[in-house]
Amino acid sequence: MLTWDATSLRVRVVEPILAVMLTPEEARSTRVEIRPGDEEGWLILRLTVGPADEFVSYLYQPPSMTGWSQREIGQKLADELHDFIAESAFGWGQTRDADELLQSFEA
Amino acid sequence: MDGFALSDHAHAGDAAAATAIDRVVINSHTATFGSKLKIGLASGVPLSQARTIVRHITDSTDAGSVNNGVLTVRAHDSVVSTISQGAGRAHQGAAEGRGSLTKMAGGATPAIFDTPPPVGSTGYHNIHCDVDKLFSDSDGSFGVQRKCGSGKAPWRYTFSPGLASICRDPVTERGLDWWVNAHRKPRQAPHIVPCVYVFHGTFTVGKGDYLWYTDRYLFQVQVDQETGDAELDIHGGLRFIGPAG
Repeated sequence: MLTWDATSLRVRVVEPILAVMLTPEEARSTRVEIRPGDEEGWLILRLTVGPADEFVSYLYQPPSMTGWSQREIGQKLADELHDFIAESAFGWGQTRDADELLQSFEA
Repeated sequence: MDGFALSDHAHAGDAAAATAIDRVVINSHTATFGSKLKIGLASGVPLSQARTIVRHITDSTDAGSVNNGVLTVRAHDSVVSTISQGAGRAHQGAAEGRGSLTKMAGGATPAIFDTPPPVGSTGYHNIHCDVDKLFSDSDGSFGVQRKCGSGKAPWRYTFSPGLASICRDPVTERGLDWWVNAHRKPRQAPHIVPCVYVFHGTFTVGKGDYLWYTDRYLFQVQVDQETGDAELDIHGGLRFIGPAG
């Protein structure tokens, strides 16, 4: 059974996706935090980009995400970031994706 | 709302009229869509003032009941309408993040409506493909559609004009919980946004799937000089009909 923890999610999913969906300048101003959620085993991702934009995702939610692959978790995160960026102060109205990267993730 | 026909003395009586109300609860539900709005008032208000708050949200003529400082009112049943033929896209509104999204995401807030009705029961409204359906009640409107042949169904939710008129920015959305054929799916993303925001997301579904959803919104309300903390829970059941992707 494929298992995930905060470190593996950060290294194998979060950081690669941020690297393609944010500009280098935006990435430098981004704070990343992964911490336990309110349900057992859940991990919550919090990003603060620049001075004003905050993003929160329920990054990993067993049991409904138990066994999810790198690509499945990455796709969910990329979809949420797609909406967040389009509505953010730094990326207002922009359409960004991680489709090419996701094809290289383990399915 | 001129159609509101209640007085302080209808149903509740003189004793209740003198009671300080510290919580207002407005319920609305049908078999396939509903909501529950709870407004906590830090300092108790007279019943007449509590009903003024209710009048901003619903013109229901339900006198409601008063019990231990809680005024509970049944709003009109929700209505379902067809918006258009053909699958358009959910409109997206502006977002402005303030408040504590992290607190909402990490807080242990017990959910209600988190038990889906049995698959195949009457708790699910048929959603034919290429038809934009809107479920509306006094608190807001939930829209959903699925293009024929697609496995995606975008949804949206907006506060009603009445609720938006007393809502103070920002609103913290917990993130939508959903079940497909009684199996729980990952919670969707939370948001901190203005009261007029078009909350939105996407369901992944197949033909014949039974889908149950709930979401929770936290915000403050203000009516005249009175402020309160509001908690709105919505829920509904959908069954997707027509060719799937």
